[in-house]
Amino acid sequence: MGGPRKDQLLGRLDLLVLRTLSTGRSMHGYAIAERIEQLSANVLQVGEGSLYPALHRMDEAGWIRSEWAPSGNNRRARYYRITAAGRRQLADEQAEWLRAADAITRVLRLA
Amino acid sequence: MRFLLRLLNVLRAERLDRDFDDELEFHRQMRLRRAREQGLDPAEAEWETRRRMGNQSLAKEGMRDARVLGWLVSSLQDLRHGVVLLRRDAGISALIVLVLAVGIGGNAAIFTLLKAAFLDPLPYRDAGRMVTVMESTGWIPSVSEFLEIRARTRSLDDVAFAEHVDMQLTGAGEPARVFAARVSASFFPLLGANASLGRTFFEEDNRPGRAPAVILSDSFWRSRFAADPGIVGRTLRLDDQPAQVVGVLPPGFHFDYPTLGIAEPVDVYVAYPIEPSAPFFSSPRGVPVSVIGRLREGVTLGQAGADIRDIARAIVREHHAGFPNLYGLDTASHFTLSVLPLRDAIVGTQRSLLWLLLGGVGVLLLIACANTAQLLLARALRRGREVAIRSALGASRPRLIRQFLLEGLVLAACGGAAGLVGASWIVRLLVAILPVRSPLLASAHLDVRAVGFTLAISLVSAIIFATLPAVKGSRWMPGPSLTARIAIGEGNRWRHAMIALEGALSVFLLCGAGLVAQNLWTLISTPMGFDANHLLAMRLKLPGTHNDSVDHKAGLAFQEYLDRIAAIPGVESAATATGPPLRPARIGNAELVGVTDTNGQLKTIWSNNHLVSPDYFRTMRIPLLAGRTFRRGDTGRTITVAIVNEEFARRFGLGADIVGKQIDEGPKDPPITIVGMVGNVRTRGLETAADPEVYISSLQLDWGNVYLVVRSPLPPAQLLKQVKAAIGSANPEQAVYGVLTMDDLIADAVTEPRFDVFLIGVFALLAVAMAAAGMYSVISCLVSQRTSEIAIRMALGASRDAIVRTVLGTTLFWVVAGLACGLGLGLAARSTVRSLSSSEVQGSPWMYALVVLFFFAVTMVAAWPPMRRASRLDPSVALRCE
Repeated sequence: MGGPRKDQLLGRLDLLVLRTLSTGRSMHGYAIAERIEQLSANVLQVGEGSLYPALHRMDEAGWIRSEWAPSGNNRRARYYRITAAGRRQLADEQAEWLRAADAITRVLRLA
Repeated sequence: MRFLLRLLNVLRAERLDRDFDDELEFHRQMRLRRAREQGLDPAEAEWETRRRMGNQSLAKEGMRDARVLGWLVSSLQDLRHGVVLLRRDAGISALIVLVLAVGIGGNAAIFTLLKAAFLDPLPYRDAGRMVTVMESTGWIPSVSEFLEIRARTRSLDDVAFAEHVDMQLTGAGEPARVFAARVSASFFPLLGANASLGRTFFEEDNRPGRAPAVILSDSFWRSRFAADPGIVGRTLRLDDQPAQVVGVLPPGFHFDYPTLGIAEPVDVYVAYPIEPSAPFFSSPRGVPVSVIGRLREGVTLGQAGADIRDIARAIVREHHAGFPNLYGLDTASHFTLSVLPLRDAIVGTQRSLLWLLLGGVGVLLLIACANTAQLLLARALRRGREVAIRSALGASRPRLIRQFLLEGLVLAACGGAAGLVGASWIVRLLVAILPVRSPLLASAHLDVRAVGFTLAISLVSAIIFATLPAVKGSRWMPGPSLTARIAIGEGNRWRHAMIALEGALSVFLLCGAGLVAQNLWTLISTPMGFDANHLLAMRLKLPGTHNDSVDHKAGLAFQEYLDRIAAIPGVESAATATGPPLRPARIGNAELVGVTDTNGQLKTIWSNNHLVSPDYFRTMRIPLLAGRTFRRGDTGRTITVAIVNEEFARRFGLGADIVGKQIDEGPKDPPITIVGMVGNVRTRGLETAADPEVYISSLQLDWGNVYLVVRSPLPPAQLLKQVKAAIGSANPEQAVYGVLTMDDLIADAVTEPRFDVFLIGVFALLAVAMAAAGMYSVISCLVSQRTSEIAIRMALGASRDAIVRTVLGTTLFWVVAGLACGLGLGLAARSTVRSLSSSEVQGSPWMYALVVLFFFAVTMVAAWPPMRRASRLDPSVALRCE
């Protein structure tokens, strides 16, 4: 169970979602969660309680767009797609994260 | 855009919720499928999915927070809560809404009138560029001046004039008096009016010497000619002259502003016969006319004013000899012309009435706010427990304040809505009882701007009255607020301040009402100088005579009517006059032979001149003080005798010895001998100062347009019928109009002051009623708060008097403070009220004493029931209840 780790990463959920969508494909919430879990080798489990509010918040902020569309299993699903503003945001957040991670890594190595 | 969307989402919460559910349900289904694919059996898959999904409602809340305006949702909750609370206190809430409705409705109504007067477009083409031309002394220009202006102006596109005249329509049923306006051909094009039938006037119609062309107003066409479509081309007889109908106006057109000299709705428009070569200023200087014009595109009012002043200077330069010497003034040096925006000219003196009204309703709204504030404050203090519990549960102070403000907003909105409904009634009522006919104000109507204004003042008053209760009510202390006991003290001090404010404002209004009432009383109680009982007055215009022109036949013709009227059984006497009391008279100047002033010049005074029939003084019962009245024998083509009043003699420093003196008529005419002196009569309106008067016998000089006065104890309706029959037997073509009794005439003259008294009186009484309600509620609240204290005092032996003193003491202090402030305000605003209501009186000390007394009486009435309750308190019962 990735309890504490999940909490720590909550603050970076936006970054993860934007990165996932940055391929340009439109995806629904479940697919996004799956993809993050898969890419992190199941270390990062995204809870729906935080994923969906985050998606709607980013939609309001204009980083992603959403629309309802039929999915494979005869249900309609809400698909999200990254916008130009979202890409800019992703670039900013990514750069910041990498810089912070780099700094932390240095400290850990040298201390 | 995003904001709007989120705002919209507040309203479609259900739809949004369904979307969230769908999205989460999709997620759940996907998880379930995944779990099954991993080989879990259905029950395990279900369990695993549920575990992974966690709390769905938490997710939904997060989504909702992202999508809607959180503060709006909570405000709506507060609002709903507020409505519930207000409904629980339905009585008080209804009272507050009523009080606010009166205040807001009154303001909305006055705003609507002001809007009609100053903002709504006039129903004419390019009305914003329309101006009138006035002469220096507030007079209006004459036709010859109009011609000069038209020929010379560089700032006005087009000019036109109108003047009104009573005409007699004969040859079509009963002879009738019609109200006619004589206009220049440019009048209709300038106002942008077209005929609905036929045509408007051509320039040729203004040429003299041809049968006048006539245009009918729509209403006259309908009422008199049953909307006959073949009317154009027909010939009517107007003042015994044939006149051809050339057109009918559309129903919406009117130009009948008393402030512009067109006193009544016009029945017919007649093309004015303009004499191009008329002597420039004959005496009188041509017929005065209302001149209107339109500014050229891009010309300012100031430029037009300069242009018109130049024209006036040119007129004086070129026609200096034409200016008469009036009232001892060289009129040429004073002559000038000016332009005034048409709207300002139309609004005229009603401006001050509107400001008076606005002041009144403004103060009323303030009182309503103060009253509401103190009622809400009382309720806020009673809700101490609720506030304490809410804050203990985590409500912040701003949130609490917001809730109080929102409740105020609900009340103000209800009051505003009720006020808006009432406003349309108030507007109609005010226009109906307005002392002066005013087509401009009659067109007042509620529109978007009025509704916007009402919303705005509702909002502002909500902020005014809800702030204090919100700030005071949201404060709480953990201990006392949660126990049942409510602390008395600061809250009550504020409530007392509020009723002091109400008291001050209502005393202020009472002072104003007292001032105008005293003015009215002075006007009514000053002797008139004649006996107004059993006097019937009506107007006559001899057919075939020109309006306002000297006519020697007229006096004799009228004398024949008078003889026949005097023969009616029950008629004491009858007379004609050019200007009976309270009606305008011709003004002239007079000199006495041999009486000079300090410069050695003949001493000149101005006086009102009247042409009266021999029996006039007997009919009016104006006392003869010296000499004799006119005789039937005072006839002839020249004026030989005159009668003056006491004031005339006084101005020359004479008394009864004025009889026998002669009025100087210049070198050409023989002097006129003064044969009698009569008492003073209040001629000009109801102003109390006497004017000098000169009376001339109508058998020596008369006009074709006179007032007929008949003294008889017969009932007016019966008398009128007989008088009409008598006149008809002498001349079947003679129309009679403008009938009213002399009592009506006097009543008519005091309409305006009476209107002021009525309005300000109503404001003041409403204000006092609100203040009384405020005092009542404060005192009864105090009594119930202090019940146990009073009971203990009583149990310890305090007398009932002492109880009353204790409870009433503080309140009385504040009320007296308010009274003093109000009285001070009232005294300070004295001159403003005087000038706005055009009254002369100084407020007498008695009047102010009466105001104070009245206010105290009301205070006592308001305080009586709760005080009675306090002094009748049974200590044992009260203490057991605690």
